Amino acid sequence: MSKIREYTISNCEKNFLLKCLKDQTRLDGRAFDEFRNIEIEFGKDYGCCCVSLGQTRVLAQVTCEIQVPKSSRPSEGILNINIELNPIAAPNFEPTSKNDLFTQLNRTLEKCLKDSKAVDLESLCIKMSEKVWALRVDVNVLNHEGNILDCASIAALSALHHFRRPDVTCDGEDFIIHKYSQRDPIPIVIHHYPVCITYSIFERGEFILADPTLLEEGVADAFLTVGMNSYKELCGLHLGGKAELNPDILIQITQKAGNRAGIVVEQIKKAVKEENEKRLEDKSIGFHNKLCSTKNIDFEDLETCFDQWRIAPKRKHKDTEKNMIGETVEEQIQTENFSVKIEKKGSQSAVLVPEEFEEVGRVWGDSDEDEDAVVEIPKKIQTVSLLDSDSEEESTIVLNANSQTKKMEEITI
Amino acid sequence: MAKVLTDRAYIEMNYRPKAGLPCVQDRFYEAILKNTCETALAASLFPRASVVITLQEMHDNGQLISCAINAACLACLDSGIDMRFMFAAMTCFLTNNGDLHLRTPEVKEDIDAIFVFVFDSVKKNVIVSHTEGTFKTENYKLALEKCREGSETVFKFMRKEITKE
Repeated sequence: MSKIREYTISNCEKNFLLKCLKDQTRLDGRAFDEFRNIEIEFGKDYGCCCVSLGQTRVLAQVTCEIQVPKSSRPSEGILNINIELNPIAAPNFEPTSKNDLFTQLNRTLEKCLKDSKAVDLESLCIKMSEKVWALRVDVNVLNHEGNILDCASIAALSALHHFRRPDVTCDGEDFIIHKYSQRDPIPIVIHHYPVCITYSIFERGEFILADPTLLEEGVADAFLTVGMNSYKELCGLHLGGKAELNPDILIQITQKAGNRAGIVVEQIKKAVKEENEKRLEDKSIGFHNKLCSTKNIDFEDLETCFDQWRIAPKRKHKDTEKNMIGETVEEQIQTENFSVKIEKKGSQSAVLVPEEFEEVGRVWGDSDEDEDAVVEIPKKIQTVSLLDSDSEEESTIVLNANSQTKKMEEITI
Repeated sequence: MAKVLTDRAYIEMNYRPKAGLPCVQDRFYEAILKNTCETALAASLFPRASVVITLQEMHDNGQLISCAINAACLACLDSGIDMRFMFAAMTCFLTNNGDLHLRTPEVKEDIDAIFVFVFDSVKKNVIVSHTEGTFKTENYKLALEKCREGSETVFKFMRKEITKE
């Protein structure tokens, strides 16, 4: 089942991507060692955060409970990390079965966070070999647009840094867990902040791309994940796929990753600090702030969007009758002006963006000598071209616009 | 492959809690959501197909199941799949002083009963009724009417949101 739903990369895409790499360009216009933007939002609960790396989105939540410690380590708390790959992220992810990708992601993240002893587990001990805090980090992938691991590691670390456990006191025999309202909760002690940084390797190490997208991940020969903290100490290394690599390249990559780790950790610390300050000042916190905030779109742009909605179905309706009658020139100009552009935001989701008029003007302006009247010229030329073209062609344009608007989806969940 | 139905589409519902593994409560939510979507979606138009709906909890501030059902409706609308009708869920709380509230009371101990109703957009009929706690029959009827009124605003909101972008 999952095989059917899987997105396969065509040879055309593959060849085009490799051709672009030879021209030193990436499909999204980034430089080879440039990363996508990181956005960190925090929820209302302690230890809940949503991180987006470009269009890859991940939700992390830390929870804690009291457990009996492992007999081999009686004075240490327990840290569990669990990545969930849901069909919400990509259609080929199954909710129940644990596939190879899951195992690889989970293990690499564990290596990075748990085995590097980033979290002080001894401070989680309540009573030797009887009661310790068990932390559980749940990482839910919300959208898969390549490089889940980097995003997940940032989310897990931010959630751990943001999380506070309730205070516990002991009066002789009994242990009392204090509510958040009774006593201030205690933050987790973190010794150092390791993050995963992934690079994709193409053509036997000829091209090395930082923060690969889904397509780049699919085309790449191999990938290298470096677990690195802000002191440039290596906390994990994972090389997947098959590529002949020069040892020099490996050292080069880890050095680059070290610089990047410093920036990422700084951003995480800053985000958590800002969030804690917000909490102290009793400001509104939670995801709804981000979800409900309206984007800055000019009213004129909005109008064109709305008009597209209003006009498109109407015109589709009239198509049959108008084929006979023929349309007036003014109406054609009107619809031509409401051009909109669909911007892809991850697989199966898109955003409707009004196209700039200037762009149309610039293209026409280049071919024409008259520069002052750029706005008027396209109109004139368009009307001429539309008059020449028969009504059938006009109707196809509108139908396309209509189907495009239908496809539009919201990225925010 | 084993789940293929020859006369209609198979609807697969995944409900994910924010933390931990799905427990009995989450499975129960999943069943409610699945039933609702099975009635609302025109599944017989797509035999041998499967529709996967995944819901992820992001924050629970009360009325989680209503929120999940409304989110499922918006997701179905957004996907463009054929539906018989839209559906909207409302939660009503019966407090121990006998009042009915549509807002989640601050103190959990005040709540005597919780009613969850799902209405269709065409005839405003009840599709799902779920109750927790003890209550009298009059209270149930009153809560039903209150929720039916309230569902109007939810439908209005959905229409506004879906035509906005």
